[in-house]
Amino acid sequence: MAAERSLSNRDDSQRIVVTGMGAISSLGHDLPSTWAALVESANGIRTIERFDPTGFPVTFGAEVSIEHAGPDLKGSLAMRAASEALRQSGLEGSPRVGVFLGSEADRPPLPLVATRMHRGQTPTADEMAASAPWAPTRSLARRLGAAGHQGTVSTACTSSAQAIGEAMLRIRRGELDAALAGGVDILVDPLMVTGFAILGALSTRNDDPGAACRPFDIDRDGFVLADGAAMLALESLAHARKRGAPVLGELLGYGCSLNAWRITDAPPDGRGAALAMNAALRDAGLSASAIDYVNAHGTSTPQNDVSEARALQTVLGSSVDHAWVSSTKSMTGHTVAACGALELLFCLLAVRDDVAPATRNLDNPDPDCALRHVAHHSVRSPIRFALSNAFGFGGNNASILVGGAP
Amino acid sequence: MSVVISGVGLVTPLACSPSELTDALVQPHSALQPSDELAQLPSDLAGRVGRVDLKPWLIRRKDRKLLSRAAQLALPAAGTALGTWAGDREELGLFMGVGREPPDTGASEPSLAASQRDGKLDAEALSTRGRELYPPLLPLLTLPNLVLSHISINLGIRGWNGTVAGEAAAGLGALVEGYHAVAEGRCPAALVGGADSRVDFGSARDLYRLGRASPQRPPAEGAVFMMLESSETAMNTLAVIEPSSRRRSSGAIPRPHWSLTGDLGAADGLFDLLCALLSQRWGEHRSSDDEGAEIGVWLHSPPTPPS
Repeated sequence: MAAERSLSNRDDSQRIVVTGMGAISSLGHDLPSTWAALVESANGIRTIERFDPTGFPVTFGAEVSIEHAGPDLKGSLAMRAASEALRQSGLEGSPRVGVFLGSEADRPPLPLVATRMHRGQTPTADEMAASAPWAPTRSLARRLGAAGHQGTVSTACTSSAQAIGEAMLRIRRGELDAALAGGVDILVDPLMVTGFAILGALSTRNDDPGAACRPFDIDRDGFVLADGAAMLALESLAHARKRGAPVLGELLGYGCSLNAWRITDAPPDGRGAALAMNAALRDAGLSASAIDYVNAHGTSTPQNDVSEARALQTVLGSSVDHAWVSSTKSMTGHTVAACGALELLFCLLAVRDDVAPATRNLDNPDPDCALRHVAHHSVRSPIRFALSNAFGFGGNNASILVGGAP
Repeated sequence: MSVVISGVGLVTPLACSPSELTDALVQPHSALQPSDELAQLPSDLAGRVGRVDLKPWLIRRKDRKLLSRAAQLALPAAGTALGTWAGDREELGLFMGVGREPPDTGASEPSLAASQRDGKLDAEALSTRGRELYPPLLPLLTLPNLVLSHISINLGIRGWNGTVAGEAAAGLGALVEGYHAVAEGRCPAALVGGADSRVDFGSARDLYRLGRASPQRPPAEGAVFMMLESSETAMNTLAVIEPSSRRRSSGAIPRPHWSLTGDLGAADGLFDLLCALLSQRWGEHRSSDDEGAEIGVWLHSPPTPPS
């Protein structure tokens, strides 16, 4: 009932639909192969090959390697995911089409940095321009011929969820007809491994990478760095119908919040996360009982998983036994600036196929994380509405609620 | 319902309060200072702010070491703009323009130097000596969203939020996002601002190399924040704002204040708007950056109270 109310409250120019989806991850080089592997609970986490990890505190990650990527791997991943989404959508650039990406500043390859230091050289202007966080946004806008608003969001793990939210708000407001939105990140890098390991945030199960990421499990010990990109073609329902585009699903509600807690921890009661989820539900005009599946942020760190579980218990209330919950990071690793977009795609596909993907390695659920977990194997179950959570390092939270094609 | 500016706060080389800035605009003087650190660059001038007193703003004093320079400038500016707003901070919005990822100002160089062998990166050296020398707090100082996080933590803000990554137009972009959040009822009020620090050698060198600094456009640091509220609930109205059209531009709009305080990066467009507000220059104000984004807002005088 609540769903029908929400759908009729907005006219077709304010309803945001997805007409194209693209992704590249350690599980697959496009969305269909990634999704197929995810449904099979495949493992995308292995010993690092990009550099020799011997001697590093962490020797594994969820790498993506593609041929002919050149020095700009990040740009190549973004372009590949965007091309897949645009092919499916048929969306073409115009002054009323924007581009919104979650992206952090890029880092030049460390061997290059070392050589330069040795020679007393510094980066060129072109290299600096290419490493700015907004570089992939500009590049995709040029490729698409999109002359509408461009936005780059750098809020760590919430970046792409907030970029998608920003695109939703601008289309609803009538500033744009359509947008390409998503995120990209490259994390399997010696400095990232060093920096996050020093912070104590990474799993150190070097002897068994496939079992390392175990969100909500009692034996979890940290997250796993990953590479990836995910893109969505978004437009108003009216615009999609007018041009006869395929409508793959609908973004029903978006909410975001801040923790106001600590830089490196989430509040034990999950207060900030609950605010974001409730805001998304309000935006969609739905009650928590409508949620059939939650793709949790679920990083596999001891504190964050408890915080998110408590937030979900608070928000779902008596429906906590109804909504399936899983963290697909157990298979893809943590793609940080791209995870919000990647996991939103998984929610759209969960609704399309009535399949909730699993949390791999969830052998012994933590009693402090009591939820209706999808452990080990995906489950077939009617999924009408799904919620995607993205909670960032530093305390940014974003939640997006999705439904099937209208 | 309209959206109004109900409070302002600033930490800049030229002034750290509205009254100081008003005085500086009436009797212009340059706050640019030469620096030995920048002696090798086309100009050694930069707009620097002295040590910022964070005691009134930090919940835990020892957290100062976790704050990047931009965050140290932003926190008091944001706190001043928030003032004595009595609403629920759980619902208060926070939107910020941030510049490039703050450079590590050379903090990682000893680690990288120790990770080399014969001029080439050596994985074993990186995983041993390099790792030992790697500054543990570096990730906490260089992630751009952490400026927003420190404001959220120390001022207790939990509402809608966003960062706008960019250059001069980023702060004004944040203001427009905050405007819409208030106008659409997503939050009762929003704190909007921009903060940047580009006066260390590495940042200034990069700006000159990118063509985004010159002797006429010296690099600077600063933060500017404004409090936006619905006209129906605001206890104080300094100006009424609304976004104007957005268009593409061919480069940064030169600013008269560059000769006084330097280019404030992500805070530059908001600083220009603040100068207009204090000078009562009502009308459209635009800000563009070198990346071609141009954002405009209309600044209207506050309504005259009925006699």
